Amino acid sequence: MMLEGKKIIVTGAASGIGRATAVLAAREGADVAVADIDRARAEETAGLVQAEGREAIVIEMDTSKAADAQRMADEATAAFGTIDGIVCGAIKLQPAKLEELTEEGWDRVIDVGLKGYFLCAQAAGRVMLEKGSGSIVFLSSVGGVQAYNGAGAYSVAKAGNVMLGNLFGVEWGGRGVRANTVLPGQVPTPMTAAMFDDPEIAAGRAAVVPMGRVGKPEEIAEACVFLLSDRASYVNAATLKVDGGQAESKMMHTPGRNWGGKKMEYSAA
Amino acid sequence: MARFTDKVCIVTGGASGIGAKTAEMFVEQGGKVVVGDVNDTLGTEVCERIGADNAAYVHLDVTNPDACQAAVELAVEKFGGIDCVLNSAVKMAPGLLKDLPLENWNLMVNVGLTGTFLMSQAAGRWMIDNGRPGSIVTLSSIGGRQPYGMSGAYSTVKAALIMLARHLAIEWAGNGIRVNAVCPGHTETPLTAYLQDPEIKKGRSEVTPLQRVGQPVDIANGILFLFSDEADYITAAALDIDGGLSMTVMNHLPGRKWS
Repeated sequence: MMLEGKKIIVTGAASGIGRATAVLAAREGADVAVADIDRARAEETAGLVQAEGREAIVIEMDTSKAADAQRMADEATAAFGTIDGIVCGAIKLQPAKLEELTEEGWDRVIDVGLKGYFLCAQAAGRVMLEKGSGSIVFLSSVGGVQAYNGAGAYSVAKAGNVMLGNLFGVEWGGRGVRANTVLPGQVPTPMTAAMFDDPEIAAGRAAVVPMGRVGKPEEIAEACVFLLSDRASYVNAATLKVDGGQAESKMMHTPGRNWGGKKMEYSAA
Repeated sequence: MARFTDKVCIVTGGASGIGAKTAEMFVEQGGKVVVGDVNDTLGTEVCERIGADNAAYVHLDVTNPDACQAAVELAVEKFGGIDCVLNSAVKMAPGLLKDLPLENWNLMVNVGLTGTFLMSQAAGRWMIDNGRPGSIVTLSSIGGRQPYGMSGAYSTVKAALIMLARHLAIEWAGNGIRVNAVCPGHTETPLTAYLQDPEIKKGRSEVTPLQRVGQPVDIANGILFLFSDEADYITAAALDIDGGLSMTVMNHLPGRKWS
């Protein structure tokens, strides 16, 4: 098992990618602190962790509050004795065109999706620095390397995740704490479910991915677990795309070109 | 079932360093390998160490399309197919660009870049024709991310390899073939014999955030992850395995030091 005996915190673990990561971490041998603002669904995730035969605690928290982040680290340490890794995934969506985006909408996304990553990684990281080992994983997005129009501050927060991950990796790598960032593509989750409600939109969203399909939370969780594990012991300040090739596909939208082997067409005319 | 049960991998440049380590670990985790190299002595030794039931050696000059095709045929005949390819064959011919002889430029471009194209094409054609999904990993380098002075054509080739991997990935995604690149930082292999100089090794460790140079196992672990089903939604990606080296430009400013 890749995470035998490790103690891992996952924020945003009540659903979607966070939940899948918590469950896979448990399957790979970790005890998991399930952190989320939604206690009821966090309890469900904790149940899934326990069903894998591992210990789970629930930490109800607002990741954008420093006091909550500190309490998160304290409660995890009290329950498990230490912290070996943290996956930061908590985010709020507030889509809007930039000309209509409110200050509250901007702050909400930046506070949870960027400041919250800093606060949680810092609080958990101080424990890991103390013992000289640990792994931080940030869930960013393809939207962090490509501008996601209409998503308000989302792409800005997600680009910030990448740089923050690099910064933690550079500052703390020499003290045994690695930090890396995962960039998922389109993944249907409770948070993004509405985007896939319309069958035509769902089909279109799959079709723009070179692999011809959207991703699954479990596929993102695999990347998070790899980066948490000792198999990634020389991976630091890196980003890993898990997007079916979407981030590299923009030139394939050039009229006259299509990707995908079966559909590849090219005419010199 | 082990991670690579019933899987077959071709490794170019498999006689030493990262290629040899990846071949060994692929078999340890249940698979079979065809080890290709131009160094027959070392390549044969690697296969003997792994064991003839699970490893076959082929003399492989990747600049020759017929040789790439022969490697594919060997994998199919001996082990029944191809699931994975590691393109790690490369030749080093360092030098200042001002003085770099054309033959050195051509050597690096032919082996590193054209050879990767030819091997990927031969294996990819077989996968597509046989309707078999696969995973191809190309060994780039941190030198492919930022210019690496005095390395001749090396950085140019390694940068191109990232694009080649993405390009193959986009064209073959519909065929179920994933293609990714791995970018190691300073890694201790026979190719990087200069790391045997303690002063150089110390200096290169110190400029790396993790404060050490990499070992072949560090890189092989990333390659094997990309080969595995754990990575089945990862394509057209480039994974840095460099201890953080590529993000350290600002740490060389006077007055700044990490840790």
